Amino acid sequence: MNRIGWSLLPALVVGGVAFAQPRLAPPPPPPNRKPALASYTPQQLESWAKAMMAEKRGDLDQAEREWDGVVRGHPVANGYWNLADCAIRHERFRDALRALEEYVKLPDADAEQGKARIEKLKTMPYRLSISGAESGGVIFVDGKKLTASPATLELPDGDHAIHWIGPTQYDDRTVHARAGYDQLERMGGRDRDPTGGNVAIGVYGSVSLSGPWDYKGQTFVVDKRFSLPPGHYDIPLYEPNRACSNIVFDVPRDGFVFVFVKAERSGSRHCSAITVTTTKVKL
Amino acid sequence: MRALVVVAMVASLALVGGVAIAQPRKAPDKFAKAAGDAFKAALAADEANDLPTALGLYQKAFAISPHPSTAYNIADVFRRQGKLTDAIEYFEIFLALSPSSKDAKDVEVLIAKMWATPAVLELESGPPSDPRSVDLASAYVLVNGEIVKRAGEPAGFDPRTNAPRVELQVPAGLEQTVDVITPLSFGSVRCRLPPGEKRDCDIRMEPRIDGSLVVSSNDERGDVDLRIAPKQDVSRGRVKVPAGRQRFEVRDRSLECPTSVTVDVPKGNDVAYVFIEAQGTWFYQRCRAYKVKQHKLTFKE
Repeated sequence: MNRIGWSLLPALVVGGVAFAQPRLAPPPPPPNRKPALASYTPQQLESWAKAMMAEKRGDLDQAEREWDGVVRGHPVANGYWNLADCAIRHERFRDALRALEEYVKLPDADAEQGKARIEKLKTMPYRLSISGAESGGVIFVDGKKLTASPATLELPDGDHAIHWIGPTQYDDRTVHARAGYDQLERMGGRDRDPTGGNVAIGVYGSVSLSGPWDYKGQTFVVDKRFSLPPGHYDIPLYEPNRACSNIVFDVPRDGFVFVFVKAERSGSRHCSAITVTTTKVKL
Repeated sequence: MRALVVVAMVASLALVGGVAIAQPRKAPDKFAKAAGDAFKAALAADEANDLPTALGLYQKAFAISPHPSTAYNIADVFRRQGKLTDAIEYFEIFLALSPSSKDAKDVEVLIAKMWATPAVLELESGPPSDPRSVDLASAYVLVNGEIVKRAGEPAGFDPRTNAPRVELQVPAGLEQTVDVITPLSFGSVRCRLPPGEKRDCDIRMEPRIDGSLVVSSNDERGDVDLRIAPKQDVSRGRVKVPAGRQRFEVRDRSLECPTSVTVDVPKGNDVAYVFIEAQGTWFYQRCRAYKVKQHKLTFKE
């Protein structure tokens, strides 16, 4: 469990290249508030106190409304800062960005500090929350087993293959990660999908496939769960020459195997080059 | 704590009123002077234990020119008047204006103590003419998952309406979930129960809801569920489940959660009660943290 705290993020995002590997998202940071000033109006101070009361009882939704009340009509820098700070802990990063953009416009703001926080938010990693239709599932990102579901992940920019394997179900997605954005994916739960089985072959990339195929008396299918007898398999993907090499994997006597096939169109050849990763999954 | 207040007040007075300042300073403006005058008058009323006058004058001083000492003294008057929510609000203003004050830690402790002061719940149901009226004498009453009245403990009646009524000392909180379970039914209502204050709370329920499991939660949106069976999620209600040890998954806004709850569902008239206290904001795109409280509610045959 390699957790990276908020305080380390600036070091990671310098230059716009956040990180190379998917990972679990860090927990929300601790509060980093600025104080009230005696020059604020009594109404602003009352809203301030109510915001603090809401934060202390964990009601960040109400707290955001109260912080908004502090700055509405009579903008004050520290109010915008605290509104943004609350929004960050609330994981409403777009709200936080808007509040900080107001913060840096004000004469009593620490503009450098505000700009640094804005930059951090704009380049913060894409966050993907995954929840499965049944508990006890496992999440694969780009073919690698990452964690149990549910989980919130941070992914580097670009396309990623997400596979979720539950005790009886299977699901997959391709997500497009962009810094500063977040997304929730609910996986599984489609009644028409088969359940059970001991194998799933997930295919990602440049290869066109349709329906199941038979080979040496067994039926195979991609992106669904199915059953195979235990043993060693060395099979073409759909039909010979669709992929430039066979898929090779072992089905264990117990448990489940996930076969991840990444396909890339090779320039002069008609077949797709594939790389295969197999992972035994304990469900 | 009170001695510190006086020191703070005197210091404040010197600043805002321009009294006993040893070194030359900029003369106070008309607002500082007016606030200082109101503060001095408030202090005199406070010393004479005339709390309404003191409060009004402190509030006047604060409205003219906010100062942490004034906020502290307003809070302290509210505290002595038993208006604890208002007191907490002004102690929070004091902390906001003086986060590094030497009194800050003591004030934090005082705020926590005030939040822990019980409230008085006056739970009332409808008159006998209302079919959804509740027989409170036969009911368990739970506030945020804690039993505050057991079945069989007596209940009174409102002399004007003849409606069942019971007065209970309960944990305080700005919004509390009050669950009422009788041998025949279940009802739930959310009430504001500020610390140290007495509040009415009205409860009605269907005359009959069967089942030996009651599920409730503090989530006002009803987004936290127990998965009783595939595609049967219950956030607040009384349901039939087979007797014996059962394990139920927790779902939060239809998201799966790593939490499950094991419940011993009783036979006969008794009821298993499960309260799920979600911690954190509903906005998180994932499950929140939970505390689960369980009780076996026993009803005589």
